Amino acid sequence: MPHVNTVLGPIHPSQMGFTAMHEHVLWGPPGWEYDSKWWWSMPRVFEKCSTDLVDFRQLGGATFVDCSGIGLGRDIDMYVTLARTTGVHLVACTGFWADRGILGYFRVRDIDYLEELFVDELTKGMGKTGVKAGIIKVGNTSKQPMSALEKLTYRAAARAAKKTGAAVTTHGITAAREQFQILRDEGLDAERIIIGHCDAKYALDLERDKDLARQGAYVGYDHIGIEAWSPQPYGMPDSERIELVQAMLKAGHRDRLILSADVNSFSLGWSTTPLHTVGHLLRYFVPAMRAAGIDDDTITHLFVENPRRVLPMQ
Amino acid sequence: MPYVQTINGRIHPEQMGVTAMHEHLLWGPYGWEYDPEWLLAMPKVVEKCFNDLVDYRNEGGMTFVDTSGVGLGRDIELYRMLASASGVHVVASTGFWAQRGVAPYFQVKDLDYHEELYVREITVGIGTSGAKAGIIKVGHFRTGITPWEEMHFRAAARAAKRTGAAVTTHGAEHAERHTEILLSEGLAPERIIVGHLDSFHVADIERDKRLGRRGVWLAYDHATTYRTWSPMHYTTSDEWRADQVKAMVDAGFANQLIISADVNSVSLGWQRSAPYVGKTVVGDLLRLFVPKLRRVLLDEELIHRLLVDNPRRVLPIQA
Repeated sequence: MPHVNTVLGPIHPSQMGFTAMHEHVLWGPPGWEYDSKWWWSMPRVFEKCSTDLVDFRQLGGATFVDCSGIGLGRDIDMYVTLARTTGVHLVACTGFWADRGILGYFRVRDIDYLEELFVDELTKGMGKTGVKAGIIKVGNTSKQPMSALEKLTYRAAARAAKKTGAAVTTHGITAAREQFQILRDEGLDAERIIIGHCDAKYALDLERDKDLARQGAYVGYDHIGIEAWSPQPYGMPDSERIELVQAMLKAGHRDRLILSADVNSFSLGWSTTPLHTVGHLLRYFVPAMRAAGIDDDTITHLFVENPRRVLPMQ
Repeated sequence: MPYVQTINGRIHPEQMGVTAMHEHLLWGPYGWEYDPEWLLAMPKVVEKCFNDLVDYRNEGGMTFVDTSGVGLGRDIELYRMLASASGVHVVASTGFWAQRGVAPYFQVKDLDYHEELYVREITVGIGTSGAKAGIIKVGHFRTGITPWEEMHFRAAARAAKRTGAAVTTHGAEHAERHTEILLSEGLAPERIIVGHLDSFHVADIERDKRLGRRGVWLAYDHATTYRTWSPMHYTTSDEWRADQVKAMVDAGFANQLIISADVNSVSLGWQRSAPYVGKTVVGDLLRLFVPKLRRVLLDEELIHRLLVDNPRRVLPIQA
């Protein structure tokens, strides 16, 4: 039966509620855990993340999908404690970000190894924690050709997804079509694929998004709240994101949109902790959607129904 | 081979270093986890416990034995996180404090059930966490040993015999009687730590020597608490405590002595504990009590024996 692997165990899809599909509790470059600075500031890290999650929940949020992956900040013991004490369903992911975020240990592995790694993390547990991942994240460096290693992780992700019923969520928008193609070539159903970051300012392409949606993939507009304050090249005003959402709705792709904020509740030395938190989705973006004339039924559809269809392990 | 069962897995006894044998990270009456106050205060709880552990480590501490037991504050995921982040080896306990601290669910269970529960927490894991307990805690309230309490002492002794774990006790008022119960179940005296012998209201150095002659471990574990500020009936002063330890060393029991501070890093709403939370921390065992001990013992090797060698002989699970 379909179920969602949270860090506290499986839940029924109907328990998911309002879901942020592409977020990070902790986010740091591989090796962050060897920087004594992060041990010393652990209480502060915990407080920030706890506060953000409680805020999200009080605004009506229920499920938070952490897309950090192996070695990139994912800290299961902390996630478990956060989930228990905030009441938010936390979902951790297996997989990697882009090439330069892959630890040396995993760079020399073959596709079978990576497939098995992802499957193990989804079905047996991450490390020795016994806590299972709930989704697979893979990525590539944007604005660059996909590296051989990145292609390998995409293929391994597709195979692990087929075996386990987990969904695959991606990073690296400039290769969106190639991501989709590799995953499909491995035989993964289009409706198990979320193409992430389609609202990156430097790579907006509505025709691409419509095309992906027509083929059955989920299109992620998941930089919500990353606006003028952000030094990131992919930031832009939320109003422009709402225009994208409206265009996709008009084209009939209401079933294929995923909205999220891609926050790092705490950045462990890679980039600075962003100014927005996951609560932005409910505090600012949902009211802005309403003000733009998007009805409540559609808003519920995008934040509740679509995640409920794609996230559960099939 | 003997090993210490920390909540993050086994370590070799040599890795223990300076060890506080009777402490609490969290301590609260059963039911505390249903009070939303603690959930909302969790960032503060984390910070207090983390700071205490790091301070302890900076003072030279390495291993921290949490004797909270089932339902009394023990929170495995939180402990794991704190242990990983602070670098202190945290050992969790199975078993209970006194009957009045036992959730109704466990009040109606019999001896066999309790024996199995303790064995299971030591060999299989605590709840669904997979983390295992490393010691068995048992106790009785100061008014006497109830039939239920006698039962759980017996269950602890049997579980200790099966698993090789040590038993650590609470209830100095009837120290000799509860030791007798444990011994009558055939548990070796060197697997028994009789706790709280420095409880001032029932202090009796002759009793301690009699116990010492039975071969059990003798714990002076209220270090750092003072009558001047603590509302608890058992406190006195570190100076007095150091003299007690000195007397026991002079009587030839140096190899059976345990010192600890019985600090609650956070008290989860236990009324009598609440007023003095935060007054002392586990690091004060090393910062405040050890210098006082040094003044009367005049022997660095002895201090090392009390803080490192003795815990290393009693805590490891004998397998």
